[in-house]
Amino acid sequence: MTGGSSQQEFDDAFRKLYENHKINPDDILWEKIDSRLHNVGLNHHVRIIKYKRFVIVSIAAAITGIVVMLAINRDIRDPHKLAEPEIIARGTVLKKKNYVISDSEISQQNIIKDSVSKNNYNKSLRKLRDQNKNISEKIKSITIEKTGVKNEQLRKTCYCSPERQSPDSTIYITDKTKQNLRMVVTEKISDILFYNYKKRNSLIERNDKNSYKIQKIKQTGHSIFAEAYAAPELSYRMLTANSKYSMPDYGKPYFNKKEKPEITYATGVNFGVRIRDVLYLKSGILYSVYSYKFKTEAKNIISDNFNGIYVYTSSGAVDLKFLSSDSLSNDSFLKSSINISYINIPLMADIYIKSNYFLDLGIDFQMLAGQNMNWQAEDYDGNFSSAISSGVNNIKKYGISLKIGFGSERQITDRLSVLINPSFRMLLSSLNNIAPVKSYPYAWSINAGVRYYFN
Amino acid sequence: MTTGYLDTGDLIRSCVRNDTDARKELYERFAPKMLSICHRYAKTKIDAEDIFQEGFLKVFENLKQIKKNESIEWWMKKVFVNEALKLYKRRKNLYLVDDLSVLDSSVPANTDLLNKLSTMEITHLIQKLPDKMRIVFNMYAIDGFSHKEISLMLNISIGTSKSNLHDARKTLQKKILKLEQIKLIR
Repeated sequence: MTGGSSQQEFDDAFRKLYENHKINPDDILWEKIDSRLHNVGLNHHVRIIKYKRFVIVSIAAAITGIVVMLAINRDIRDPHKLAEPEIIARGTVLKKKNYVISDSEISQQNIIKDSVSKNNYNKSLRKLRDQNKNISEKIKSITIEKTGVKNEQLRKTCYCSPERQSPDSTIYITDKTKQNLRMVVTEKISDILFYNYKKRNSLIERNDKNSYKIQKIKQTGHSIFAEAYAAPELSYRMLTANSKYSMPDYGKPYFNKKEKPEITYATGVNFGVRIRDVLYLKSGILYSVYSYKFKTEAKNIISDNFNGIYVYTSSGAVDLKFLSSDSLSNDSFLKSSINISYINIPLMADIYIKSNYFLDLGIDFQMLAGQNMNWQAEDYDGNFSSAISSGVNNIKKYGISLKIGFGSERQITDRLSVLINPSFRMLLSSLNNIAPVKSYPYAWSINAGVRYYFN
Repeated sequence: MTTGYLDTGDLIRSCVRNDTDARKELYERFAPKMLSICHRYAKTKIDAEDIFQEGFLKVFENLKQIKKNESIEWWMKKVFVNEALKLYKRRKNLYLVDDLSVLDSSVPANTDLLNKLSTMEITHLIQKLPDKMRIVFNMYAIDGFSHKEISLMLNISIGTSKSNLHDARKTLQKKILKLEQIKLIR
């Protein structure tokens, strides 16, 4: 046999030989494949989470950028800044809270000037009411002098009553007298500055005999403030598989099921500076605590290592030493509360969307301050063993958190205000890089604080 | 252990849904056959098991791409062959000769001798072939790929494929003869 046919026969012989040839694989091969399939699934999940995190952070960054840009440009678009001064009629009551001006109030030029210098509107109003009486007396004496009417006849008049502003409402005076009286009052209300303590940037001046001109003025110089706050926090965490390690059975789903978040707190102080009318930047120092607790069967989270017992938590492994015994039964329950404290340096922007409401955006530079945990093992007979630990191994010392919040500010005096600021803070990097799972703590908090303006 | 998937289509659909039992069953159905293929394409047992693992990962990852009327065994065979090619391409030692002159010389068929050897012995002989010859011979002579398919998969010309096949046959004949002689001496 030569040529093509012999070659075909040769090939056919091989083909026939291997047609039904099988080699049974070792069991270990399936275990390896299964384990890798599991990891492939987890890696896919991690990729999705990473992608989602990237999308969320990008959106947050984009929104922050847009809001900051809007805030910076708001000065230009603010109609009060560019519009002509608003002209209002005498006696008009502006409806905005803390922005009420009556004709009689404005007429007290000296008092109002005083209020400008002291920045104390309420105090000025009290003085104003006292002065009303004196001015009424003065006008009364002028009236008596000019008209010759008797004092008792003037009792019915109400020249300077804050409720009834018009001095010419009396029926006892002549037109000439009225003119004279009007001159007296007009002198008092001639071109004045009125300081609105709330807005602090409005000018009110006489426009003509019957109206006033209100104009916002641009405040010069920077407002500097300090604020102190405290917040209850509910700390929790997002877990992802660490693709560098094979996922043990006690992994992510187990931690999510067994570990519970705890209510913690954060407290700090900030110093801020006004960059624009609606934009403040602030930074300071914040102490915060991330905490969780669990009670679970010991067998699921422990392993013996060279130094003793190794306990796995979602933040990483902990070396455990028992005070009352050398070992820990697999059947016992292990419970613990783990607190990890941080010092944070926030760098935040407060963007005022209305006069009293603001968005709070920024980052926290986070430094590990300490760890505190209590361990107890309880066997089925109810006997307790206490343990000591050295803290979570290889926990990261530094991290960066993203913070976003919404706040409301209420002025209680000219310089002092109170703040309520619900916010969300999330660590962008994992607590521990060499743990089987990666843990990203986040906290919901309601900050309550006070703010003091220095100028 | 089988879980009762009589229809391969159902089995594939379950695997696509990441059903662990279905995956195990698919593995058990096809693993022995695929491991045999891996051994033929690999030079060593370790290489064969590497190809085997990578191949099954690819199979589970890409099962949804299998066409409706396509034979799963043929599809899986292509996946495992591709994994074998990848391994040797990665090691950069897959150089293919392009010498058409050898095609002129005839190769004596020696199927009688072949029948006297065990499959294991023949597999060892195939494994001892140089990479280039072993792969082309396996693909064409045993697994039924055409020269056109081989040329596309290996990114070589059809002539190169034929040339390597010829060399492989010739080398195998010699090895079979040599093995037979050794056996006779013993």
